[in-house]
Amino acid sequence: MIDVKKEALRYLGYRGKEPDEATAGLVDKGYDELSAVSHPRDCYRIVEKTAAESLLKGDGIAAHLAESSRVIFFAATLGSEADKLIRTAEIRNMAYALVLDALASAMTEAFCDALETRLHDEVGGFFTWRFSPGYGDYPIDIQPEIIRFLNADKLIGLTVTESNILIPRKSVTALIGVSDKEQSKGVRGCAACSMRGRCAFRSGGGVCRG
Amino acid sequence: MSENKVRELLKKQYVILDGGFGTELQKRGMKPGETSEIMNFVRPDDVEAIHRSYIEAGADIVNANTFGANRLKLAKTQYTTAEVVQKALSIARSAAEGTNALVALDVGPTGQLLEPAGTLSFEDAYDIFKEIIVAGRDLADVIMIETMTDLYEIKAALLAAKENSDLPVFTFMSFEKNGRTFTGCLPSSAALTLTGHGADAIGVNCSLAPDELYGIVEEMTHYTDLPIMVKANAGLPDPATGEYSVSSAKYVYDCIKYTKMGVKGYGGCCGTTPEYIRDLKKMLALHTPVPRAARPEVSSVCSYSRTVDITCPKIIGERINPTGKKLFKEALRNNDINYILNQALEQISAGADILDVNVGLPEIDEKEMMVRVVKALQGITDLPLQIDSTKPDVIEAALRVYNGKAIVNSVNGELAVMERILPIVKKYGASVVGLTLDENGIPPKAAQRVAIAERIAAKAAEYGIPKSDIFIDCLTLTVSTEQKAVYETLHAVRAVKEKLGMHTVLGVSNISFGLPTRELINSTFLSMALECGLDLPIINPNITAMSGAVFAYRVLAAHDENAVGFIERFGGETAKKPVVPKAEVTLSYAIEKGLDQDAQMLTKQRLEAGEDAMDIINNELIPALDRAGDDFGKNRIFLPQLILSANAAQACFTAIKEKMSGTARISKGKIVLATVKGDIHDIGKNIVKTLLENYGYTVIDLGKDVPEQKVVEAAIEHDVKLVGLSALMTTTLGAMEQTIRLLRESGHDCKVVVGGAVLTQDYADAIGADCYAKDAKDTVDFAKKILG
Repeated sequence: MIDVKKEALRYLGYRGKEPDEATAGLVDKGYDELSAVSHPRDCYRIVEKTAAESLLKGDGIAAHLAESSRVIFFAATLGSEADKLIRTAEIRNMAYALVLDALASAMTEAFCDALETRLHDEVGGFFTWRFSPGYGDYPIDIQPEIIRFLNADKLIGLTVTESNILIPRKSVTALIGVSDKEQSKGVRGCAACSMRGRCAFRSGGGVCRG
Repeated sequence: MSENKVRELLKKQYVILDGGFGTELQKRGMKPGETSEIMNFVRPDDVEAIHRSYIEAGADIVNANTFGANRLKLAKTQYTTAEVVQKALSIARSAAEGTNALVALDVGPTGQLLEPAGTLSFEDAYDIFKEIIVAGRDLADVIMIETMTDLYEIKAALLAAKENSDLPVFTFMSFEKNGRTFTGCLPSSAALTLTGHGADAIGVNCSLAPDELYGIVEEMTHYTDLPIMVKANAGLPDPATGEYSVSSAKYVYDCIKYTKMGVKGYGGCCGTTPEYIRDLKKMLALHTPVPRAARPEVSSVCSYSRTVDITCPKIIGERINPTGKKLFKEALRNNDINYILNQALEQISAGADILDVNVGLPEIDEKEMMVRVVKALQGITDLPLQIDSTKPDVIEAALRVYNGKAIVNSVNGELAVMERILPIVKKYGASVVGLTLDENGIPPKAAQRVAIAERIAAKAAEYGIPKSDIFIDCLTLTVSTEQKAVYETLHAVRAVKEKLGMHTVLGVSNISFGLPTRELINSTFLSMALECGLDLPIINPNITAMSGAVFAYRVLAAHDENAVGFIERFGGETAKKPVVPKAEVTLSYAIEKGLDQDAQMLTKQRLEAGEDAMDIINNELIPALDRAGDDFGKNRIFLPQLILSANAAQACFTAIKEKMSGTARISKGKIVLATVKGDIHDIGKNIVKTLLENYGYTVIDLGKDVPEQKVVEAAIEHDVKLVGLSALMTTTLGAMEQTIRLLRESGHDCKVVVGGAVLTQDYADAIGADCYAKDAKDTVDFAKKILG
């Protein structure tokens, strides 16, 4: 499980460096406020790979699921309260808004990690890592179809705009391949990433995954 | 005709609705993810069979298969809204033929979130719903709007239904276990707002099982007299099998409790089948719902997520008003919405319960500004709003986009005024302030003012506005000119409260005009008025003596039990000490370290000592910001610290503006900023804005998801030499390119700077930008180059 505060600081550019007192204070305050207002929710479906073909587009996903027999689709969101908190902070204190934004992203990731653990306990077998629309050649415009397939707007209030942005903003859709045998994991690597060549983490000598 | 049938139906002791539809279609072979509205064309027999099975099970009303028949959801199909709606209704009609069953036009959510959480505008949502209503109004007996989780969206649908048809409308929202919808809407807010906007029945559907909805339904019964309906889910679906968990027997057993709460309508949602409806009918024959008890008359106003019951004095914050405020007027002229939002946030933290909103200024378009401000305010606060204007069109425009039950400020005893304003108040289910004056002015005696209050109540009753929705203002006169009038006001307050049984509101601050230490007079008068029965003081809550008087009164009058609210507000508060910076803290040090209070105090001191404002800006502020920027560029400090410095500079600018307001303008030039069409990731743009403003540039912020043409228009209108565009998604870079192309084609001479995570220098060059800024500081550097 990631340390949300540390991860948020990493997003803010503090790679390994201790934050100054003012920023550290904002991080503590932001973590408490976000934890108090957020309502993380998730929904998922487990299907045979053959039954999900219309949702599996591109070479990246094919390679990713090469050894999987079943697929878990899931959606997870921090909820609209986090968005509102950030929006309000932007009026009064942009530094705080920035910190909240980073914290909310880190919390969403942590929530997905926890969900994955839970799924693993429930489903068993061996998992691939989480693959999301927009990753590699998996098109972002699959987003509405995944939302519909999961009934995510009804079940967790997750919607998608015409330009395929998830709302509430701090949300994730992803799929995980499931197999009875160990799968050669591959690396959740930079090679497939759409940010390749313009990544702030790599230019700083790191990667986005902790 | 159909309207009568539905009204007759509602007179019965209970009404039986139908059950799950999508889940029934899936049983007949529809796959998850398939669009169920298409089944009207590819499986019309199945659709009709489902309707018939519900009618045979005992449903009085069946919902046509039109839930998702809106143009957004149908965009990827070959069918239009009109085609789907008419086909679905004709199938349902055919199923109902020869029976007594009525047919409902079923209206579900658009599938997109409305502003401010999402990108769909209220007006567009209204149009989408209007299209459905117009397509189905001649074929349906009733309109059922259901599974809504956003009060704003269901309001758009309800307005569209009421304004485009004469059909009765039933409205249902979906709640979660925490007692709210996904967007935070409360059952009380839903009941107040939907009742106010003219629904014929309200209820809950979907999301939860019957035994999880008791508290939510119970809360609704306290806030409406309308019939209430419940269509719960058969529990939750299993992620692997899709099976629902609650059996018909349990579902129906759990619904018995609703009969004791006086619920009128019974049906089911996801996972329920004709079996559930048949069993419900059997149960209802044995357990006739009891009539609902009369409700105590409570006055309440609300936003979507906060309900304020006027059961003890509540504070209406008066600060969103340009009267006598130079900076506020300037903000209105410059479209500086953030300034106004700051006024709101300040009052909220000071303890306001409701915010008065007045944006009237002769030289601006009040209606347009009011709509913008109301929309922006409800994006950041859930305090109910009081719409303060004399113009009916402004009031109506504001109420239309308001997401809740607002207060209108105001009407008075003049007949023509009441005839103009009260119909609007009624249509949008608002409360209204009634001023005790008329065409002859303010009557001197308390009894005369009480008589006007009675007249207003009587006229309002003609429009169907209950006494509980009128707040009487007995009017404060200035004590320095009319000393004896103070007690006339107070006597009138007491009489309105005790004899008429109405709530009272009073603007307090006028009382002390022309006297020294006005706070003393104001807060003393406020305490006197509270004791006479004032419910809604309109005050400046930021002055502790004022809001504190209300908090203290609530304790002393035993409203604030155990002084919980008082202690929460004032506990731990030590007397405010003025900020005195340590001797070693210089202005530039304060800015670099982000010490905003110190920075502001030092700026004030130097201005008072006679130093020129521009000298302070050029010799202290800008160099200090530059040093912070330089440290940032060299990774010695990080973005939050850079912005903290900018905040401190902002505090200095505020001090300078206050000093200089009305005399000289301090701007180094104008810059238009926008996050491009389709993109709503605007935090980066907002960071750039903060920094630019603190370098002394005037930023015209067009916001996010900005159409290409709007950028061009703003650039020309404000004659800017620099435009900044941001995009965070590869998919919206096209819109950025198009915006630049249109700017160039317009012939307007300006430079374009672009930024955002997915941009690169190469790409910026390729789409014709003049500068690629990798961060906020780069943008400032470019602005300096272009604008100086």
